[in-house]
Amino acid sequence: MAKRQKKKSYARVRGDSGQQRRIFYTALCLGLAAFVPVSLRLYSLMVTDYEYYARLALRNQTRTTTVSADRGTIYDRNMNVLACNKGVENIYLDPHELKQSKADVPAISQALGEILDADPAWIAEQASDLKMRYKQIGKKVDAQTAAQVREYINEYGISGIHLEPGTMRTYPYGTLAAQVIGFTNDSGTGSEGIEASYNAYLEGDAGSVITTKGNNEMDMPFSYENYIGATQGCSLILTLDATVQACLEKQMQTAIDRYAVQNGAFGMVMDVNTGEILAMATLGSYDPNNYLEILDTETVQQLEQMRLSYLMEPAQSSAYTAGKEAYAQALHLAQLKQWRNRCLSDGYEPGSTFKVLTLAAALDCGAVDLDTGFQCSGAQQIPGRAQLLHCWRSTGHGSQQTAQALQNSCNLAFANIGLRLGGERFYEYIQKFGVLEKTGIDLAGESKGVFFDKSLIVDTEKWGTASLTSASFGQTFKLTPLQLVRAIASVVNGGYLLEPYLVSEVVDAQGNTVLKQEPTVLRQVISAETSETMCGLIRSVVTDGTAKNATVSGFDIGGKTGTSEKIDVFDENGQRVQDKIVSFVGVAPMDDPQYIVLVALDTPSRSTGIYISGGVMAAPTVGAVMADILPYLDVERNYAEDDAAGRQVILDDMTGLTAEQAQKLLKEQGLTATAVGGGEAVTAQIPAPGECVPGDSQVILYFGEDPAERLVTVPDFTGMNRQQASDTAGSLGLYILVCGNDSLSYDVVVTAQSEAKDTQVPVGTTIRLEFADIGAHD
Amino acid sequence: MASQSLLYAKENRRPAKKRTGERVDTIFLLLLLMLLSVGLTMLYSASSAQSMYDTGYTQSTRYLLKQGACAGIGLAAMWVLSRIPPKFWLGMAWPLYGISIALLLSVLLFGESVNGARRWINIAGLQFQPSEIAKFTLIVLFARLTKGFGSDARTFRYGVLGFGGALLGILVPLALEKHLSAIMLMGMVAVVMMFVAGTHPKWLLCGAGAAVVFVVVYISFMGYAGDRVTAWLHPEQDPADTGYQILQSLYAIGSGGLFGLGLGKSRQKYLYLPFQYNDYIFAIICEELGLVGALLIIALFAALILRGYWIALKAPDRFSTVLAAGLITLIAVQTILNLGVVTNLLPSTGIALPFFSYGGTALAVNLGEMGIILSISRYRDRAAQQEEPL
Repeated sequence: MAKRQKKKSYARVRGDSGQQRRIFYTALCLGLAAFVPVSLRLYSLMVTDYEYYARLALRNQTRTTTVSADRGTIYDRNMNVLACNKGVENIYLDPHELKQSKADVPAISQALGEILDADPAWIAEQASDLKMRYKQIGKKVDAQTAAQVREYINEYGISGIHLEPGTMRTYPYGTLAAQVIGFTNDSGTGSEGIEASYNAYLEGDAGSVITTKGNNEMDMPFSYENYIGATQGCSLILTLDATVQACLEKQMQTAIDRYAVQNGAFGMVMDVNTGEILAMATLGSYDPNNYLEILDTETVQQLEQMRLSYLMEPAQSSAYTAGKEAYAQALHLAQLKQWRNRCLSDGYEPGSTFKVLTLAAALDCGAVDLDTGFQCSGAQQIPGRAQLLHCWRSTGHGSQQTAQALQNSCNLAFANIGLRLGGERFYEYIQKFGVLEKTGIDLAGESKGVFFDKSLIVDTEKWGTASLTSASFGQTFKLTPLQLVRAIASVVNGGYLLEPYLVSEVVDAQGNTVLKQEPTVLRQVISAETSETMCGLIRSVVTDGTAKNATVSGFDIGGKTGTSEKIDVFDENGQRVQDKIVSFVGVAPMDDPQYIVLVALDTPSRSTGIYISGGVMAAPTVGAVMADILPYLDVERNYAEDDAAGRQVILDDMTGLTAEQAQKLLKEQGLTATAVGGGEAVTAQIPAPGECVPGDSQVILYFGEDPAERLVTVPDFTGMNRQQASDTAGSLGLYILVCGNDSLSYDVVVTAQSEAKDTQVPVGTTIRLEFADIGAHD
Repeated sequence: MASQSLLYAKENRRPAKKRTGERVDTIFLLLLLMLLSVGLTMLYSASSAQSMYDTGYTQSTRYLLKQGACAGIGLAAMWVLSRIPPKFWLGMAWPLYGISIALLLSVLLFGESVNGARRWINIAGLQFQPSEIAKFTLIVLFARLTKGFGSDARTFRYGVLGFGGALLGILVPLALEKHLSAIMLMGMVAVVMMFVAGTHPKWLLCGAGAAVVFVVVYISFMGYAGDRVTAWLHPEQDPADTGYQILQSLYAIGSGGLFGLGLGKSRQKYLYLPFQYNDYIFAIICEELGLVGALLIIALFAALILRGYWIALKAPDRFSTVLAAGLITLIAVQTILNLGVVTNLLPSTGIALPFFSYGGTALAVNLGEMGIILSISRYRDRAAQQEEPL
């Protein structure tokens, strides 16, 4: 107290105690209190939020350069590369650096515009964005262009233009299996097909290099560097076989051209015992190397027309804008269409090919047996069905047993089989055949078609039998081609429903297997005995039924044709269009089924005059595919004894052999020979060594004489049957090779020949003749 | 002496006359020299990267050398001014006032533009801001007025109109220069001095209210200052432009942590943080020396300021008291505003940190002003005898 008194008196002595007090308060305020908030703030910034700011500061002071991971390679089953990476370069500007170095931006823009084929004004605009340090002006340019840019930079000593390495996805086989493989988008992410479905495996993990760097790229003494390596993407080994795929696509394309198919085609080859997809194709395809480009010439013309018509309108007018929008929309739809994998994304009406499943179900549960008889008079009043049911053949098939009903593809017989099965059992089998579910294939975008509600099939009391009977012969519902193929595979492989797959193995960059797909059996649908019976029945469809055109000599092929109308497609007048999808599902070899092949042609044109049916169009196409792929897949040929002509023999080189040796060699192969000249040894032969000739051919052997270079005019073989064609060829000194239907039946005639008529060819030339059964309907 | 409190010394135990101070206050001088040497050290650290960059990677000391030279001039000025009796300034108040207004007006006419603001003037090759003189003038004049008004300072007529009129003479030309930071600084120093002089706090509160109204109006009319407020409250909204400065400052401070990256090891000074060696030097200090170093420096400032007010209290007469209080208030306000801005407690204003920030004129002027405080400290024990009665 005394002290305070003293202080007070002291202050009083000073004369102005108020001022003293006020200075005291000021000092407390400005000398102590004011620093409290700052100190607390510093504590919060530097201690409480230290981690946060340290992280932000580090991010601020470091440059992270991404080291991109190499995307994995996609191989087919024989390690042919279907998709891989190609080194390219990206070119970018540093507008800030350009400005600092006082670069002549207009001149640079002009020069780069010329090299990169870009608009100089656009480049100048990029260079003017001074806030950015990175403006890409050239994307994925090839080595040559990059070299030009580099040369330009060096020549003028410009700083501010940079190149960085990048990669570009390439597809060496182009359009081959495009919808299956898919493609990667601009940023390198898979966006369709396998590239999308397996993107996580393919893309790997990008790495990075982190370095501290001052602003304006100033070097810092107390810096560090951190390198995080990239993990390369895994590679995929597909079940696809590029050769099988190529054969399938080639034959499908041939069919499209021959039958003027208007809406593309789809088809696939599957191993019936494992579910491995060997080939899967959708034509109207595209090239994944340039996936935005429309390949279908007709669509390109339509689009170009749209583009030109809106360009005619005055710019900025509403017609111009609307036209431009419509064009962009149409272009986009066309792109989506060509990227679509119809084998698993789109349902279609299977038509008669579905009868295989109905029959298998009926046989398996004993609803019918092989001796069951069916009457077909062309039309029948089915109980529970309001409309008269017509068979596709209006004159009817008469009296048939089960086998003939399938061979004839008789709709009335199958309606009756459906009735015998009954809705309950029919639906149950349909379910077990996987018609109501996705197949589970390892590819995104799968759909499962559209099937009847269970009650519509089962509750015939209430809804009648229309749905049941129509479904029995494969109409009025949809399933995907993959669902159908899988179900029919289960009919012939002993009854096992499989999960189809496309990727058999995922391998990392070090070669370790990351994932291995084994065949997956989901369930047994029908018994092994029923399966064996069905194999015999579908074999008979090719030998004696609607699918004779699928015959390939030396191979036992079975299958079922199908012709279906599109029930849900209407023309502009609201009338149901008469467009048809013709298809054939073939299996080979029938004694031990291994492969199943489906080809469906969407809307063959009437203009060719060829009867539109699966038997006439799809069956020979599948036959051709089988003829190509079965020898390649090492399926053993098994010629019938009496069919020497159908066999094909590859001629050995007989030069230097004596007449006796040559005769012996030819006889072993079932060939005969005529000798020309008097020499000791063979000096030449027609046909030449390595040529493929029919098994009953006569070879001309020259002994010391030169073969006469005689030319003959190729006749028109079209419409001739086997005997006529053989005789005609023999008389001219030509050889024929029988392709397609090799039956000697009078109905089977030449529909195409490898050398056009009236061309001049040397004597001894082999001419391929396509034979087909022109009476094979459905 | 070492154990005494800074504000109230126990010296009245001895006869006042014997303690007649012929020597300047050692504690104040020591604190000042410590701040100056730490300041120059940190200036070198903070400016070295910029110096290297600006000299094409040849020299790291460009800014240190200039600042060092100015510190030398400033110390000389301090020595000289510490020997001039405070009475000298009593007579200089009005002439200085006239000169300041003349200089401020001449800047408007002949001034040089630096960074878009016309605030600099060139006399005989020497470039300086007349506002630096004006700050000093304001303090001297207010001290002079306080002495003249005496206890009338409590009245509205003298306490508000008298001081306010004198203040306007300087603030109006500054307003014409749009020198917002100087107006703020002088306004605050003036308010503190008026409080010390005895103006009733209610008027000062009214003045503060008016200032707030003015600031709000100013912001709504000047888009430029409005952007600054947005940048202050939400710097992260535009990290590349308006928010850049403050975010970079916060990165520097926050990443310093408790003990800092070490002297000279700042990363933000590599041209990330703009003005890293003048207005924002404290952020680099935080980054390099950490919370501990930053608080030590703040403590040095606090000690200097408290000792300054102690000197004011001990001053022999009313004029000297208010003069010393005003001069130390100027240092205090600048320090507080600068730290507030650097830590983003306050919006960016452009006020330098005394004795640390790069800027030769400011350093020399500040040191000179400290010389006047030192001069006043020589008379710390003559108070009782010389004070005229109220």
